[in-house]
Parts: sequence; C-alpha cells; structure tokens
Amino acid sequence: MSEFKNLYKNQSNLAQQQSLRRAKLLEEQKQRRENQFSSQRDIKSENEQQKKKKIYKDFDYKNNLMLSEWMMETPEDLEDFLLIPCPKGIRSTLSNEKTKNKNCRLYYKNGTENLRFKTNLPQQTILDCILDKISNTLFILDVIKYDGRDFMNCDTSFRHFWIKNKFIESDLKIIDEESDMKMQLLDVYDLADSNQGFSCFQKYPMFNEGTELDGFLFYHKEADYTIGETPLVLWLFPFMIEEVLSMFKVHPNYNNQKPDNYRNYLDYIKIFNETLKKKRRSRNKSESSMEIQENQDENEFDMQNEIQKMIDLERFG
Amino acid sequence: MTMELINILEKTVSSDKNELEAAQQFLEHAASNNHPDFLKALSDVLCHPGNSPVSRMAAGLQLKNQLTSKDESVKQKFQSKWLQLPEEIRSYVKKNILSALGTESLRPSSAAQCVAYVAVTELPHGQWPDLIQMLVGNVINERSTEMEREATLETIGYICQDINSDILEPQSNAILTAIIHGMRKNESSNHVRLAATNALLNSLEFTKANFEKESERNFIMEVVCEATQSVDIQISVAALQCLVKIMTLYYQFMEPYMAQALFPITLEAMKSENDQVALQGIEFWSNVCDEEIDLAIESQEAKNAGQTPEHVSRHYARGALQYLAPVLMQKLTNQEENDDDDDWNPSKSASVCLMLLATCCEDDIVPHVLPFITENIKNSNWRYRDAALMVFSSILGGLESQTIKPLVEQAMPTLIELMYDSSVIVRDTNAWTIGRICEVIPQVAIDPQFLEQLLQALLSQLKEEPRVASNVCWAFTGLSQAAYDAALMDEDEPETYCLSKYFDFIVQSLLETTDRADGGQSNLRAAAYEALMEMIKNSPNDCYKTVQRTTMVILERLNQILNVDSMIAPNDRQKIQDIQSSLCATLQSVLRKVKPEDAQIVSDAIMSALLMMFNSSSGKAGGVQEDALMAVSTLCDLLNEGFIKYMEAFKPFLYMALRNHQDYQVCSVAIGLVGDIARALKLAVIPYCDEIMSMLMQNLSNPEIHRDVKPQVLSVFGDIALSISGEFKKYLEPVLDVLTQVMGLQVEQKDFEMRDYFCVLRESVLEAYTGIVQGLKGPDPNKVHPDIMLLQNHVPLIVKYIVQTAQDPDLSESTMTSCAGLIGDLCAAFGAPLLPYLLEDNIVMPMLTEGKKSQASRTKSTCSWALRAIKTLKQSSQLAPAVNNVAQPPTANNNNNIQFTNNFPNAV
Repeated sequence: MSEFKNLYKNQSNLAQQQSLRRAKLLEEQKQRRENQFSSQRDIKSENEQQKKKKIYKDFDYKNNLMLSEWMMETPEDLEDFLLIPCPKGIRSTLSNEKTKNKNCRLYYKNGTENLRFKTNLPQQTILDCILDKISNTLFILDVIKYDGRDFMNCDTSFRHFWIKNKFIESDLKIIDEESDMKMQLLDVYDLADSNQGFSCFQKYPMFNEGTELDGFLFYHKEADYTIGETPLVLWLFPFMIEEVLSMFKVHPNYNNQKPDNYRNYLDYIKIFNETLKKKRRSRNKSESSMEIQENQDENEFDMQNEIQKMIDLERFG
Repeated sequence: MTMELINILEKTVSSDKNELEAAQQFLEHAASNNHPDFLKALSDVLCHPGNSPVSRMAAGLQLKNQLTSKDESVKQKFQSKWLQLPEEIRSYVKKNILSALGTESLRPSSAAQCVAYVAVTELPHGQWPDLIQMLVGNVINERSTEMEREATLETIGYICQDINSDILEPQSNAILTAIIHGMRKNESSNHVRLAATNALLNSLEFTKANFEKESERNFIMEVVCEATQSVDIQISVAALQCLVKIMTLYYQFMEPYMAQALFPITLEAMKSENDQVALQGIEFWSNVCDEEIDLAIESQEAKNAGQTPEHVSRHYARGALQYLAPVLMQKLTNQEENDDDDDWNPSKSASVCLMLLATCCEDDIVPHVLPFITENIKNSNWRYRDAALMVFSSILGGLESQTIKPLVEQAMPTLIELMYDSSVIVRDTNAWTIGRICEVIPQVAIDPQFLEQLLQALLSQLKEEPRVASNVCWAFTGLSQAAYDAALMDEDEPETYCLSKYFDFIVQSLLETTDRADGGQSNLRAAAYEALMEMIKNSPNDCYKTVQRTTMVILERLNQILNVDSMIAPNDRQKIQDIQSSLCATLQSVLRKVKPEDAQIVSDAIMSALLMMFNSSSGKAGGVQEDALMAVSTLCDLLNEGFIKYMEAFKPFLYMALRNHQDYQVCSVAIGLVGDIARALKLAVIPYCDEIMSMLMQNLSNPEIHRDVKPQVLSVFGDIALSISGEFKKYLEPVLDVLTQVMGLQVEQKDFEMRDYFCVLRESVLEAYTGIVQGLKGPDPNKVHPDIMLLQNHVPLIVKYIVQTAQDPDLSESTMTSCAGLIGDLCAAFGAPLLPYLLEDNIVMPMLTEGKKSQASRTKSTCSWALRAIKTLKQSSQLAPAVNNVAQPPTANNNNNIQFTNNFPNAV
C-alpha cells in the first residue's frame, strides 16, 4: 500500500466530505466569533478603509417607497392631512435589514446602494428619508419597519407618532466615526390646527442653513403606507401653495422662487410632467447604461439645471 | 482443566457454528471468572509441544487477546489488568511463553505474539529487563534452531512495531545486531531472513544513532541492498520497503549509496513483472519526490527569511527523471480492465509518482512526457489513449501556468472529443482530466470558445456509467468555482456569470443524478450532491430562482425520506443515512445562499423536517446527527433572534448531543452550535444557560471524552458570556477556575501533537477571556459596567498568561491577534492601572508592534488598535497618577473539582 494512494484520481469518500464540512463550519464559527469580538471594539479595519466603491443594487429597495400625486385642488378634508415641509435632496431608503452590527445601507429609489454607515437604530429597521448632501443631513420622512415591526399597515398619524417618540426616547443618530452625517426627523404640522399650517408656511428659512426647501408633502392621517403613487399623499411646490390652498399665505421669498416660464400651477404641472416623460423615454432607450446613468443623475444632483432638478424631483411626480 | 481446555481450544476453529459459539462462551467465562488461572492454563497449553498444533496456536491467540486490542482504551485496560497480576503468575506465564518460542510447527508463531505483547506492556514500566538480551541471544546463538530464530525475530519485530520507540532506543545496538545477523546473505533460512527484514522495517525509527555512524550505516545499507536481490520475492519486497522508509527517514545520509546502489536497484524493481516489487520501486521514487518537494519549500522559506536552509535537496528526482519517466509511462499502459477502487497496482502508483515528479521537477518534465502524450492520445488501443490522458492529467499540477495554458488550449478539442470515447476507462480518465483542468487552469475551462461544447459533453456523460458520472460531478465542482471566481469583483455577489445560461439545467441534471438507482456505485450520489452544493454556493444573483427551487426540492426529499424511515430494510440503512447526511449538507449550502426574507418563509418547514430527523431512528446515527446539527447552525446564523421560537422543541436534541460523549464529533458540533445560539439569541439564551453550562462543565471534567472537545467548550464560554453580559456572573467562579487550571498547563516541547493541541487550547482560553471581559464590561465604550470588577483579582493572571504566550517563538498570527484583542479589551475595562502589568517585561509592546506590520488585515488592525489603547492609557496616566486597583494575583481556587489537569495529558 502506498502513502500517496489518496492522490490517485479523486479518491474522496463520504467521511472525508463530512470532515471537510465540519472543518468549514468550525472555521465559520471562529469567524463569527471574531467578527463579534471586533464589533465590540472601535477597530477601523484596513479592509473597510480601502474598500472599493462598487455599484451594489438590491431589488428589494427598488421602487419600494410611497410616492405623492400633485395636489390639483384643495382637498375637502384638509384638516385630516399632516403637512411636512421637504428639503431638497435624494429620496432614499435607509435599511439595516440585511446587515449586522449597526451597519446601515442607504439605497437610491432604483435600489442602488448609495452609502453605508452605522446608526444606533435597532436591527430590522427601514426608514423612508431624504438625503441632503449639501448639509450632509439625512432627513427622516417616514417609518416602514422598526425593530422588526412592520409599519406598512399603520396609519400615518401613528407612524409619525411612533418614530418621533423613538427619536426622543432612544436618541437615534448616526454613530459612525467615519461619517459626519447627521440624522434628523422632519417636522410634522397638523392641519386640523390651522395655526400650525399658517406658521409652517410663513417659516423662512424653513431649515438650518445649507438646506433648501423643496416643497410640501400632505399626508392623509389615515393612509397606510402603500408602495407607489397614492392620492393620499399630495405634493406642491412652495410657490403653488397660495393658488391651490387659497386660505394660506406663504412667506414672500417662496413666491419669488417661481421659474421664469411659470404662468399658473396647472400649466406648470403639465410642462413638468411632459418633460419628465420625455426624459424617461430617452432613458429607456439606452437601457443598457441605465443604471449607471441613473446613478450619475443622482450624484450630479447639485447641478442647478432645470431638467436635472425635475429628474431629481421625479420622486414626487 | 487442561484437557478440557485443549478440547475447547480446538473447537475455536470448528466449522460447526454451535460448537464454535459454545467454545467462545466457555473461554469468555473463564477469562472473566478466573483470570489468573485462565492465563496460566493457556500458557501451559501453548508451551507443551505434545499438545496439538491447533490447540497451542489457539491458546496463544487467546492469551494475546487478553493482552492487547485494536481499541486503545480496551488495550489500556488489559495492560493495567496484567500489571496488577501477582508477580508469581506473571513469571509463570512469561516463562512458559518464552520457552514456547521456536517449538511451534505452525506459522506465524503465536508464542511470538504473546511474548511481544507482554513485553509491550511491561518494558515501559521497567519490567522484564533481561528480555531483549535473551531474545538477542536466541538469534545469535549458533545452537538455536531455525524455528527459534525465526520466532524470536518475529517477536522483536512485533515489539518494535507497537512500543514507543524511546523505550527501545538504549537497546538499539543489541536489537540491530540480532536483526542484521538474521538478514545476512549467508543466512540459510529464508524464513529467518524474512522475519529479520520485517523486524528491521519496524526498528528503523529508533536506530537513528546507528544510521549516523558511517560504518554502521554502510553495513546496514549493504545488508538491506543485498536482501533486495533475494530470489525470494517476499524478502525482496520487505527489503525494498526498508529502502523506501530509510529514504524518508535518512535522506541526508543517502548520497554515497544513490548512484551505485539505490538508483539501479529501484529502477530495476520498477520494471519488475512482479507487481509487489514494482510497487515498492515506484513508491521509493514517490518518496524521493515528496521529500525533495518539502526540501524545496524549506529552502524557499529560508531564502525569504534570509537564512541558509538546514537541509538541502540533492535533486535526485531531477537527475533520474529521464530514466523514470519512460518506465512510469509504460506502467500506465498496464491498467486493470475491471478496476476495483480499492485495488492498488503499479499503473495507479505510476500516475501518482508522475504527479509528484512533475511537482518536484516542474517544467523539466515536459520534454520527457510530451511525445508520449501526442503520439498516443489518439492511439487505436484504448490502453494507450488512457495512458496518454493519465500522463497529461498527472503532470498538470506541477507546471508553470504559462507552460500549461497553451498545452491545455491545444488539447481541449481532443479532450472534448474523448468524452464520447468507446472505452469507459478512457471516458473516466478524461472526465477526471477536465476536473483537473478546472482546478489547475480554470480560465481555459471557461473560455467561451470551449465552454458550450464542454458543458454538452459533460452533461451527456453525467448519464453514463457511475464512475464516469462521478468524475463529471467533480468537474462541475471545479467548473462552478472557476466561473464564480472569474465573475467575482469584490466580496459582493456577482450579478451573473458564464454558467448562468446553463445553471438551471445543470442543477436539474445533478438532481436527477442524485436520484439514479446506481448512485451507490463509485460514490456517485455523494459526488452529485457535492457538485450540487458547489453549484449553489458559487451562484450569482441571476440564478437565485433556481436556488429557491432547489431549496424546496431538498426540503421535499427530506420529508419523503423521513416518511419511509420506519420501513427501511436493514441493508438499506447505511444508504439512507448517507442520503440524509447529503440532504442536510445541501440544505446548509442553500441556506447560506437564501435571502433573509426567504429564510423567514422556509425556516419553519426546514426546522420541522430537521426535528423529525432528530427524532427518527436514523437521526440517532452520528453522521446524520452531525450534518443535521450543522444545518441547524446555518439556520440559526441566518435567523438570529428569530431562532428563539424553535428553542423549546430543539432543546432536547441539543442536550442529547451535548451529552453524547461516545460520538465526540456529534458532541463537538453541538458545542459549536451552542456558541451560534448564544450569538443569535443574545439575552434570550439566558433561560437555557443553567442546563447548558452544567453540561459543558461535565464535558470538561469527563476524562473519557475526546480531548478536542475541551478547547471548544472554553471558546463557547466566551460566546455565552458575551451574549448574556452580567448574567454570566453566576457561572464566573467555576469558569475562572477552569481557565486558571488550563493556563497552568505545561507541555513538553518534543511532543508535536501535544504542542499543536496546546496551541488550540491556548487560543480558546484567550477567546473565553475576551468574551468574558467584553460581556462584563458591556457594549458602551464610554461607560464600563461595574460588573467587570468581578474579574479584577484575575487580571494579573491573564496578563501574565498573555506575556507568556507572547514569548512563544512559534506564535501564530491568529493567537497574536487574540492576544492583542484581549489586551485592548482589558485596557478599555480596567484603564491605567493595567499599564504596569502590560509594560513590565517589555514583551507585549514588541509583539503588538510586530503585529502591526502583519500582512493579515485583522492582525494588523487589531494590533494597531491595541497599541492605540495603550497609548491613550499612557497619556491619561501621565495626567493623573494611577491608583493601583488591580489586586495581587489570587491563588488558584481548587475547591471546584474540575478534572482538567488531572487527566492531562492523557485525556485532555
């Protein structure tokens, strides 16, 4: 008998395979243990520092947000709406559903991963938010899942109540040493109290320095969180408010922001929608480069180009 | 009693089953009832030449069976039982068996075995001191009969084989004298010469001192080489075996003998028509290559470290290459037509030798084999086609990739053609060759110009003979790895790869293969499952649908097989168990791939199938249980806190496995699983901790349990401590006791196996402490939980252990990282008072500085972090003078009787 017998062809056997599996499991368990140890330490892994940026896409976060329709006229039950002033920025999904150890990932609306950082959010949390890259602030708009609890079937009032309480109670924030981004909850005004509406529209500047107001979202209080466009969430640019909601006055600065070609809100909405459609069509033609194109769009958000701006605003269209 | 005993002994070879059983019962009864008298009686029967040869042989066999066993623990029991016998009984038996040597008429001598196993028992305890001298005298004495000398040499051979070589070393001269005396050319009896040669084979390990002396070495080599030339094949083979072993053990001394003797002798042996002789000739050169491969590595390592290597290669293989290659290739054409996997023959051995030769000589081998390959790969005789393929495949692993790539590219069309060869042996070898290519030079296998044709050929052969299909499965394993690696950009899953288009079809075909009725042959079923696992493991995003479907198929099969569990015929039991193991293993591989949201959906079904399996009869089989536990581990890692809902139902099986001391592999997997569960459930594991901790403690204190289990227990202590933080307090004292005991262990530098074990143990101690420190201090980096002070008295001991570990010249990076991590954690927990301990001997800092330069990122980052932690403490302590709140080391508390050191090194 030869000591090299096992080299002949592939003389493997079941017992060997099982012992390989065993060894592999042990190796994995050691790895898990080491990862857990490391997670308790503020070690900046050389790997993470040098990690190549790669486009990572997760289809679970593609088109998974609740989107608004235009507010074409004053709703009869305006007092049943909540008003949220929105900053300019990129509509995103924040999730730690698939990560561990406080790591969170921020996804564009097309599911492409944008950022990674650590937060003190409980595991299994998904938030609907707007990223303002200029002020480096992540504004929280809504809660989809929190601590493993699903909020899709909860009405807007409760969702906002919940997330606001959690923010205060647990001091939710970004805890990543390598990121100086802030996380902030957007203010919510109850239109049942007309004073709240008045003071909101008159507030200027709406946000801290560096963050610009984009428009206003109106959430119906009883609306569940549904994916895609819904008439229970409505949108207006600031300079349209007085036309649609005649009982309110906005701060004069907002009316000064009307675009040059602006005639009235209905006309503007029409132009806006058409431009958007064109842009979408041209995009679909070059489908192969779509993902990269989309990323570029979003990355180049800062450009003060009218169409570009609309594309970014597509999230509300 | 004697007459009756003789009668009974003769019946032990009876062909009548009833007589046989009655005889065995009688003997067992006698052995347990009156052990000393039984042994005496047996030795009486053995030693009286007047008794029938059969009864004498049977008596010897029974006596031997009271002295030794293949089962190590039974053997130890027999040995201690013998040593406890009264002196007079032992000398009575010893006198009898010794006088029986050479008086038997049957071969092999059973008296020789009796003497040998008494010797193996007594010599290590310094008893029977005059035995070796007596045996040597027997051999050398002119008046000894042939039978006496033969039996005595056999005795010496058995002793050498079974005893720790250290014990015989002082007497190596005497022993060697006897052996060489029996091996001489002018020894007239071939029986004596063969017994002597076999004895030499067993004694080579402890005759180092003799090999180091030139004159003695010359004499030994001369006698061995002469013996290889004996016309008696058995002697020649045994002498060649000696040469093989001498070459491995004493390579550095072989220079003077190589060209003149060893080379011609072994080359002739290789060419021999006798398979046994040829096999030894080939084995000799396989060993030379193996040795020289090691020496090349040693030399490279020394060069990298800027040192001169201790031993150097004489490149015998390279020198002999041109003579060896033709003989080996010729041997390859003598394949067995109806090959049995377990047979070993010169043709198989030649393939292996060529492999080693290629690894050793690298590209130099090409000109010596390439003509043979090109001339014969399309030969009309299948033996030559197969041999050509074998040569090609065997050398692949040794060549440089720039040499191999054009060769393989050129061969690819022919190889694809040969997939459809008329000879099953050729197709078998060819499938293996494809597998080798996938392994060695995967870029050619997935080259688009060949891929589709290749896949077609492989898939068609998957339906052919089991041995061919089995090799095809292996090729798929390699192919999927190659394709996946090529698509992999960084650690994220690739979107697609070159097999995506075919993925579903390949998986379906493999699933069908696992279902083949002839799947038991050539390991086909297991190979198909293995390939399936690799395909799943190496699948990109766009194959996910198939992964989902496969999960359901596996689950279905698992349920099916459980439904038939109760009606399985005993003959099929092993087969069913193997399938269950494979299914569990496949389940692990799909679970690793399944998205968390899908895991939520299927986990209930999977867990209930696994629970059913634990409950079924085959679930009691160790192998099945182990694989099922591993599947639970994967599920647990996937579900995290979600695993809690299965705990109540799973608990009994987990506990049963933790108590399974006989099958330590099962126990060991269960212990690892406890760590997974603790990590997943975190605080929710608390209700189970009392029971689990007590079982883990029992495992530690059990002297019978396999020692590999013990370090795992220590590591898992750390896992539990980290998960339940302050709740670990109640277990702290006994755990710290155990750790203190383990830290006190010392190991002899000489025992390599023990040293390895010691390193594993050490790493597990560090892991345990890390978990405990992190758990007690809590997760908040800015606020250390006061529970940590429970460890305060223990800190000097831990630091001392780290310092001692850091001084190990063979410290592994992994252990260094563990040390660094623990140091950093201790700094965070105890602050500046720790500094004097850490900095005292100037050992810790140099280790961390060295670790900071490591290539391994984990080592590097952990060591840097620990250095930063120490630096911060230094700065803060300069601001405020330290108050020493780390107390003096405690004395080890041995009130808790944990058997850890007591059974070290035997049982740990």
